[in-house]
Amino acid sequence: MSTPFTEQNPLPPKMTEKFLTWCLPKSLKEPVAGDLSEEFSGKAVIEGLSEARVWYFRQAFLTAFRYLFKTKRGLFMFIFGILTFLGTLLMALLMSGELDMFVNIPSFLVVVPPALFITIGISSKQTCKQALLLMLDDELEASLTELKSAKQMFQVLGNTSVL
Amino acid sequence: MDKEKYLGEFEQVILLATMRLGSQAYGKTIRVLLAELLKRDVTVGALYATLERLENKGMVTAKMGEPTNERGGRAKKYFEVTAKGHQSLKRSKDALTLMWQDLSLRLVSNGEML
Repeated sequence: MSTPFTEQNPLPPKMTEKFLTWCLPKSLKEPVAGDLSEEFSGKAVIEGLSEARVWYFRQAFLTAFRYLFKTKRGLFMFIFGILTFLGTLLMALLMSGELDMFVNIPSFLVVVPPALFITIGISSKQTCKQALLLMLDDELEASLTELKSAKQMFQVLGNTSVL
Repeated sequence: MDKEKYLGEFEQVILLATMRLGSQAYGKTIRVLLAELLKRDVTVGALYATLERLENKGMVTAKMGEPTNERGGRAKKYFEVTAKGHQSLKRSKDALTLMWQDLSLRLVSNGEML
C-alpha cells in the first residue's frame, strides 16, 4: 500500500526505486527502501525536490551496486556463460569455413522450434517458466521437486537441441 | 591469546549509535545521528551491510516494526544491542584505553607543534 504523491509527501523517483529494490536481498528490500523514502520526503520538503532527488540517486545507486553482485550473481554468470559459449562457437565456425555453411534459417528451424516444443510437451509451460526464473533469480525459493523438474527441463532442452 | 577479534571502528560507532537511540534505533535515525554527531555521511547500503554483519555475529538483534504511510507503506527494521555486543564494545574500549595510557599527542596547529 503506497501513499499517493502530495506536496507534503513527495515520492522518490520510481525507476530508481525499482532498480534499488531489484538489487537488494529480500530481507533488506523493505527497510532500506522505506528508510530512503522517509528521508527523501523530509529532504524534499526542507531542501527542495531537485536536491532530494540528487541525494536519492546517490544513495540508491551506491547501495544498489554494493548488493548487485551478491544478489544477481547467478544472472551475471548466466550472461557470461552465454557470451563465452557464443564467442567460442563463432570462433569455431569462422575457423572451419564460411559462417553461412552453419548459420542459416533452415538449420535454425530444424533445431530450435522442435527442441522447445518437445521440452514444453515433456515438462509443462509452468515448469519451463519456473526453471528459467530459478536460473535468473538467486533468491527465488523452490522445493526439491521444483528443482528436480527444472533440472529435467534443462536436460530435455539440451538433449533435444543436440539431437 | 584470545581468538575473538576486536570490533572495527565503524562497527563500534554503529553499536554506540544504536545504544544511544534505544527503542528508536533504525536505519534512518542511526544515519541522522552519525551525520549530526560525527558529521559523517554514511550511505544506507554501508550501514545495513555493517548492521547485517553485526547481526550475524550476534551483537545486535533486529525486529520489524509496523508499516507507515510516510515510508510508502514499508516497515522499519529496529535494532537492539545484545549482551554480546555490550561485551565486545567494552573489550574494544578497554583495549584502546590501555593503548592510550601515558601517551600524549603532538598536534599541529597553524604550522606550529603544540
